[in-house]
Amino acid sequence: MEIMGLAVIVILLAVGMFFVTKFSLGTQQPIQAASSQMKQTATGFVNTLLSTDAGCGGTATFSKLLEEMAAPEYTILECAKDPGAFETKVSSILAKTLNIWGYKYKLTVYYPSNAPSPPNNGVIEINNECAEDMDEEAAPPFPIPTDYGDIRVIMKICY
Amino acid sequence: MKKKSQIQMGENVIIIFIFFILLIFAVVFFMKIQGAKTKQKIDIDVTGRGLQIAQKVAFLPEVQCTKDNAEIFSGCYDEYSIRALDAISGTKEHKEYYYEVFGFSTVSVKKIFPAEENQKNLVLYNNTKGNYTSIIVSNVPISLCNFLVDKKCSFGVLKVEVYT
Repeated sequence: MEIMGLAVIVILLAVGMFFVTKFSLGTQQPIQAASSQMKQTATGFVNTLLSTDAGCGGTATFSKLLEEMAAPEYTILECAKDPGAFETKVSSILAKTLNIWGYKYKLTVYYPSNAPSPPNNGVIEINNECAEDMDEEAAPPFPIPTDYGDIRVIMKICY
Repeated sequence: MKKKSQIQMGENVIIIFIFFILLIFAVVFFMKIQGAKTKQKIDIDVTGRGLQIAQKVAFLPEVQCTKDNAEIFSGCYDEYSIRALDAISGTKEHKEYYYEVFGFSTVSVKKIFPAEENQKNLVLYNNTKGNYTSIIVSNVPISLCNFLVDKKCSFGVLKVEVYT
């Protein structure tokens, strides 16, 4: 009789373990869906940003603004002479988009080492609550070709 | 002998009772998991549907930026075409024409940068479900371009609201 009781307990434990395993494997799908959506958002954001008019007069886009900021002493684009121009303008866009949508993110612009006088020693970073120990989904680096090498724009969304 | 049998009977009853309690716990646990999984699946499906609609909008020839019948770059929307759609989006014919593509949803575009005063949402399609239980919102960054006049692109957001 006791053996029967033990057998029942073992069977119940086995069934319980099966459900727990099934449930924990089942949660992978929404995580994958969410991470793919984050990647798409990051890619779409940078892609759109770089082709947007920077509001510097003429038809200069943010891509052109970054390019001109690499050597402000030679530019005719007035706002490229302000080292904080990109950060200020992009922060105003981010405040109305990713911040409202509840994303934590880090947008980084790396200038090539040959750039004559890039802003902030060659790295512009806009960080919204993205900590080192957080997981992240990043858009592929967007290169902007210049005479001094490629400027790289990287957008990461943290979670 | 009779007392021993009674004790054994009592043991059996208790074991069966505990067994059924464990069984009930297992069933409740299973049903909760199934419920949560179903809800997750519905959410994923609806979110996916929102993104699917955003993709469909991106490929609508009515709103794409084109030059010599070729798309200029991916994610580029013609601002004037969107304004034209906004003007007729409230008509019955418009809703009927796009119902098969967009179903019960609202698709709108908002210009974010450069900021303009009194900026209003441009509605491409609006068909609200009468008694909806939830709205799933998907936002996609887009370039709103004007190649006819000043060849400039603004930063915009395509907002898709799907009703369930």
